[in-house]
Amino acid sequence: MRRLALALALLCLVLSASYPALAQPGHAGPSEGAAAPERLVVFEVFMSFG
Amino acid sequence: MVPGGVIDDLARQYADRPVVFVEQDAFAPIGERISRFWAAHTGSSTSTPLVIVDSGHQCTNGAVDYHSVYSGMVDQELARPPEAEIAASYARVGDRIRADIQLKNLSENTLSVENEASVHLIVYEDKHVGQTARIVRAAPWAEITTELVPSATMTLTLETPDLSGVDWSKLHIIALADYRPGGESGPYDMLQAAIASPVALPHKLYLPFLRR
Repeated sequence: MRRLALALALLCLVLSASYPALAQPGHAGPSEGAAAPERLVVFEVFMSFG
Repeated sequence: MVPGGVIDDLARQYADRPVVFVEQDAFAPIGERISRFWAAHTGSSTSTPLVIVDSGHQCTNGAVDYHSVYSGMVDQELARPPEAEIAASYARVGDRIRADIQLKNLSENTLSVENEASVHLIVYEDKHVGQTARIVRAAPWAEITTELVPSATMTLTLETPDLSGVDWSKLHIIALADYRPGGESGPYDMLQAAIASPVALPHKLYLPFLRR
């Protein structure tokens, strides 16, 4: 039983280390506690490639 | 200086500010982005370059004092607060980009098909193809078909077509939401945009206690 518990604990540890991107906030944009949200300005230009 | 060079200069000048500069071929546009120019344009004549900032909240075309006009447009937009919160993440799936986008409506308007509200993904590459070093490769979009009332949040997924001939390490993904304040006419306005973050696929699982 103790071996099983130890194996499960170890498995959880390994899995959490194996999914780093899921273990941290992976989103851009306004963050909690930010002073004031900023606008991300998008400048689009349509050129003649000829 | 030619406008492409000015835009690359501006991209460097604003590198530490929340601004992105992207370019498309005016005669082979991708997605629905160029419709924002035509919705905002009011003059009788038009010539390239066609420029929109924040989905056409500001718009210009043709020969102007490129640096001062373009930077003035950007500065005015930087001073405006956003009207939405966007969080976006993406992953490469085969030869496509798939992005999950969460949008919270901070405006006082309900977003819907009535005001042509939509969400767009702009995938661009750091590469000199046209006149600048930032070329749009894909721009999938979706209308907001279920009413999004003020303070409400929605999520959606957008996916590009297969992307070929691109350097995947030089791609950037932007998610944005816009709508048409005048309903079926007049210029569009962008509520907010966000740089999507990559979501890494799981690394190789290492299970030492199972090894023999």
